Amino acid sequence: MRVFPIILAAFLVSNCHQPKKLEFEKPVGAPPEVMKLYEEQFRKGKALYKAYCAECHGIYTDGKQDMPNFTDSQIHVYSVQVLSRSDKHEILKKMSTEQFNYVLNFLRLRNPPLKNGK
Amino acid sequence: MNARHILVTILLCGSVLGTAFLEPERYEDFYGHSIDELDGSLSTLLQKIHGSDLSRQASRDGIRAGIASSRLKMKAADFWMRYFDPVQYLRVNGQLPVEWETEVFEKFEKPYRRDGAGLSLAYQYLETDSPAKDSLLRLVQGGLDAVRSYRADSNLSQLSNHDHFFLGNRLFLLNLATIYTTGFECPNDAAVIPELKHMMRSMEEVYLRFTASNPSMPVLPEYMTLFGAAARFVAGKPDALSAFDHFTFIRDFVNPLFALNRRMMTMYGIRSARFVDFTLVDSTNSIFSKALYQGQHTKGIFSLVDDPATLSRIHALGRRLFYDPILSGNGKRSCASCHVQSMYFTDTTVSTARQFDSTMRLSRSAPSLLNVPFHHLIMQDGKHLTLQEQGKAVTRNPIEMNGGEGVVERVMSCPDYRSVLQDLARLTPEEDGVTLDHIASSISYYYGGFSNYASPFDDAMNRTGEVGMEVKRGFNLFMGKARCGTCHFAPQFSGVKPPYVSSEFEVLGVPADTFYKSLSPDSGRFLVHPVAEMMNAFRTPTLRNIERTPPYMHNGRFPTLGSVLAFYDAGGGVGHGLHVRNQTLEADSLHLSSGEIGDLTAFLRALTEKIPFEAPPTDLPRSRHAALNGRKVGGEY
Repeated sequence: MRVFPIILAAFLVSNCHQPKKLEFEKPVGAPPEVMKLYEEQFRKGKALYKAYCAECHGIYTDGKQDMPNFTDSQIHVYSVQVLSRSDKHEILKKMSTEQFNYVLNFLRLRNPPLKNGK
Repeated sequence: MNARHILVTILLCGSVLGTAFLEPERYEDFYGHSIDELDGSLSTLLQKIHGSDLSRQASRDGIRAGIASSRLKMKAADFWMRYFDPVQYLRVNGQLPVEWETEVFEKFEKPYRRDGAGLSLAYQYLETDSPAKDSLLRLVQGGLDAVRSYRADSNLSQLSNHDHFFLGNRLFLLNLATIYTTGFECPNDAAVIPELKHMMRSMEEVYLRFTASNPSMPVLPEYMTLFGAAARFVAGKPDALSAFDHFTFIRDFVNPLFALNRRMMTMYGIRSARFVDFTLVDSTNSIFSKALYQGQHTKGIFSLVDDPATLSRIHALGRRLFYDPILSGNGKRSCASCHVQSMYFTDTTVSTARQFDSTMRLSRSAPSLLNVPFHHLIMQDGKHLTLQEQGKAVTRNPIEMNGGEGVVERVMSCPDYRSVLQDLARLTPEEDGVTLDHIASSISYYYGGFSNYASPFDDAMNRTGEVGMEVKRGFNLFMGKARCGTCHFAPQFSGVKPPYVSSEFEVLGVPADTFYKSLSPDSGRFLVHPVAEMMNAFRTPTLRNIERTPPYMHNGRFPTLGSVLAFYDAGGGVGHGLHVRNQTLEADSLHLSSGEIGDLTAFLRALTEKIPFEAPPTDLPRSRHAALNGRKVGGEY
């Protein structure tokens, strides 16, 4: 029970010393409330990604071999596959609709592509 | 001499001689051949219409006969067409001139408009007063264009993967239990059972061809035997839809075939990889199981939590919050105010509940919370995509609970809630702290559990119980003469039809008053999706527990099941003389006798689930704010 927040904290600390940079693509000319929504979805998606996805799909980690690290087209294919709840992906099968959308939006919006696997 | 005998003879010859020249047609070629036959039949029909004079009865009769024979070819290819591309299928055999609801991605796409086409619409159009030739041609041509798309690579590539066969067969069996026997897709009632007979014969051939071409994954002999018996059962029935024994057909044949198909899926390691059936649970053995498909994640923000101890904490939290008026702006209203557990999670004492200010009434009746997890779109107008979203919205709604900005703060002022919620919030990395999402999700997890129970009708279908003759007669009426089954699809008996990815919305012409002075002013689905076809449309609700959840309709207008059945029997709003421009319910009388009404009611009663209701909690957590400590369990609504 207590281990989880510690791992998360370690993640956050290890990212602290990096320079603060714009992490995602802002929609051009979007009104502030839309911007807020983007930021919120991105932030939530990133948190879920780090907690549940990064171990295998390396963006913040080295990931595992033979696991995709998501180019744009992969995200697209992935979204279709996952909407179908089709594969044996245990985490995504369980995720709520909201959580799934956060993660996908995070992957779609992130810019520049963060540390990409190897 | 029928096709099956010929085929069996050919198969025997092929295996005995083992020579190439007598080999049966490959399964893939058989598919192509079936599409070609439908293509040819529709092309002939088009030529016939071109050369016809629609003002002459003989011409119209000729076209009608052409439509009937094309429909048989269509039924023979239905198994593939419907599974491969449900959107194109609606142009081959659409039922509405304009289709709005999305067939497959309801949760993820905005509804988009599709003009219907195909044989059902052509048949209906031909029945109108003065059909125009070009319009009739357009409807048939639309169907033909769609049929030709089934030769595209996208469909042929599905054909080359064996999985499609067992997954498509699952859909076929579900449709056999819900659609093929009701006239939902056949405007001519007299043709429903003859078409079904033809379809059963065609499917036997499909099975034989598949097995011959794929000896490593044969259709099991038990399946073939049972399916043969099912085909004989259908063949032995008269052609009249009203005489068909739906109950026996589904209980003794369709549902056991569904279980055998599941067994084959397991044996051959087949899992759905398609968006068209993404909600179906691959491991389910019965159509009448609550595990057939998933509509909602009742765990909401806790969806990724599996640990039983944590889940039971969430459940206990949700139970207390469900009864706690601390969620409302005046500390008097809780979820349980309008969703009373002993009243099957609705309020059977009022048409519609009071608004927050207690003077005005809400415009819609509080729905039962039972079985809401089996809807994809929540609320009667389908406004919300998830229960999580709905829970937050009702808490904030100024005329419902009016929880205001301080809901989370008020809940967190109770140390008991605070410690649990803080622990739980650590499990949701996407949120920085405790949010309304945690509160709404624990509540939906709590009440969602009450939707897992079966009714006597389910038990009868699963052969773990029996129902009386009046229930069986009632179900047969439901699926046949009374035409209920064309909108309320098993197993939920709601508008969610196979493959259970979207809901239907219907316009019934529900009156504002029981004297039928005017139509209910509620625009329904139009409020969410403002197009003409959706004016006054409402999501078709489940009929489970219907006996216990009066009053009925979105506005609670009808107090008894008898009054609702009378409304339908007379053809809805239009049948009662109201002007409803877009009513989707047929306006003519069903001519139900009082005995038939009695049987229908008996069937509906058999849908009442055996739910172990429980008493409310005896007390609520204390708050640090003394002013909040006078609140009563369940509120004082």
